[in-house]
Amino acid sequence: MIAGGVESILARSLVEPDFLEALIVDPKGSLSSYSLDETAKGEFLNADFARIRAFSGFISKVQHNYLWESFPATRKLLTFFGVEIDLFSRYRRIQLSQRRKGEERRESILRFIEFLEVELKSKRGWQFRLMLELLKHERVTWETRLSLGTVPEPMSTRLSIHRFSWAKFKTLTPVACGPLVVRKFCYDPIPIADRVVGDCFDGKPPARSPRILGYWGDRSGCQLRVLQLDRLAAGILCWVNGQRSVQRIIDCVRRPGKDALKPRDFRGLFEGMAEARLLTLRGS
Amino acid sequence: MNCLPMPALGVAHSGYIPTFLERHADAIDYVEVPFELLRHDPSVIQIAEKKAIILHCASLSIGGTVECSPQTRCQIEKWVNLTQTPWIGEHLAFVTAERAEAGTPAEAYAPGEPYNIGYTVSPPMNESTVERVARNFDCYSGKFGVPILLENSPLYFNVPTSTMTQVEFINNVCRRTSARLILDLAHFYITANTFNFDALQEIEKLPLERVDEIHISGVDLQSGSMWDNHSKRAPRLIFELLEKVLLRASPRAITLEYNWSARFPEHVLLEELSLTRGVLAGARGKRGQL
Repeated sequence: MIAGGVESILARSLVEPDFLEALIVDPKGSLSSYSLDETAKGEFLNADFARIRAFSGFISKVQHNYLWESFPATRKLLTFFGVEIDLFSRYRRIQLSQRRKGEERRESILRFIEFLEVELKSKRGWQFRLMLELLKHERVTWETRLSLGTVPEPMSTRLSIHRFSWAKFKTLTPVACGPLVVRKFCYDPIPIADRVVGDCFDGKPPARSPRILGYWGDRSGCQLRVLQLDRLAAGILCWVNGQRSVQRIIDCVRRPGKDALKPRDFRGLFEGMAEARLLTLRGS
Repeated sequence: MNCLPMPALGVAHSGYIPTFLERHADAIDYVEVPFELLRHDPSVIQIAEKKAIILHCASLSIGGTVECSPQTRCQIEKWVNLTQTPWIGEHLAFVTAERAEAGTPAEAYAPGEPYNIGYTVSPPMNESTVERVARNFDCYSGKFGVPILLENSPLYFNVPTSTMTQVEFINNVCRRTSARLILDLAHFYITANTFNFDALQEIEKLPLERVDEIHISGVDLQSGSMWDNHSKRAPRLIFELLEKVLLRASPRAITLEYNWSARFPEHVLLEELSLTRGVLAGARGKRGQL
């Protein structure tokens, strides 16, 4: 047996997922090119490759400890429900293939959370729905924080909008002051995430509590603000893109025949958002 | 470390530790910092302005067949000097391995370079490895001006060609070298779980008089195995093991390794520190009575 042959095979199985899978399917063939003596060969043929595969998943898990920074509740729930090792074992191949390309941390995080979303969506049970909800909350929190430094500040054109006639007002174009994203939840993610991160989660399914939350990167305070929104406010913010006018947004949000609100009734909402500096309203 | 209490109580470095130190400066005596972190982010050395540092390392690959590169050894030496660490903690494991005569893989990650697992793995535990560890230990131990402490690895599976238990392996390494030890209690518990032995009984068979540092952290049960988990508080058994070890061993340091989550709850760390102090006081009392 060559010196270090056992370590080489183990190391290779941990950094080359294809080799590990080949060892599981055809251990004899996979080891044929190694100069192992009969004892070593016999022991490798009987090795617990399922455990070695789980160990490679464990290594991946540890190598993703940086996720704790921005996705603490998601990570903690993955541990709590005992699904981390399996999950990272499946992710190992993707992780190693990207390592070759010298990926940036941000790209690594994105790649993993996209993988995780697909995995969680494919599973049944409230635990997976809950993890998906917390992942959604932590993802949008992370993305909004990141874009706080990148989304350009809209031109400051503070108009005295209260004095505008309705005809003029509805031609104005709302622009978000900073990154702004709206998400719908079937659980309220904030108190649940707090309980999970603070080690106070009891493992019972939380009560459903639908929420619409707005994640706003407030530049004036240089911080993320999470706003609880009603359907109308959420609808407005979803349609704000810096190009649509007040009138156009109202047309998108209002459900004729269902909403008792008239277009003019939306004005107060726009004005409130402008006063809170969530939006700025630009003239044409 | 010379003026620190015996044993000193410390924590492994994590993103939350600088804030923790601002609020609870007196809660700990030192911070254990990985060499690999310092190499990646030298600014972490700033912690030395507030607390003593113990250097931990996962790069020497002392249980492996590939020699640690001169550049890495040079960097370790530099950080030993800068941190003024009393010793270097290193794993009784390998992290790199030779690319044996196995043909060319379809897509070589680093052609010509040794495999780099990026994580410490226990080598096969047999006579040949004992000899190799002894050779590596003798080779490295004079290089850095401070002792190297060897840490027991967690065993997650039976490493092919092993002919001895981990306890026998560690005893043999200690017989062949003057090495002193880091006893990681979670690693030991994991190994006991994998090989189905009683941790509380077997721990007595370790050369506990060689233990200079003890590590405490959590474990996880997942996918039919027990796993190391530095983001979770230690189970009760870890403290029972600690109590038992302290009746015989006189460690110079006890490190709480809760360093995987930058969001580890502060109140949990404080509780764990308090629990550790309680076990220490209890063991002192019992030793006094013996």
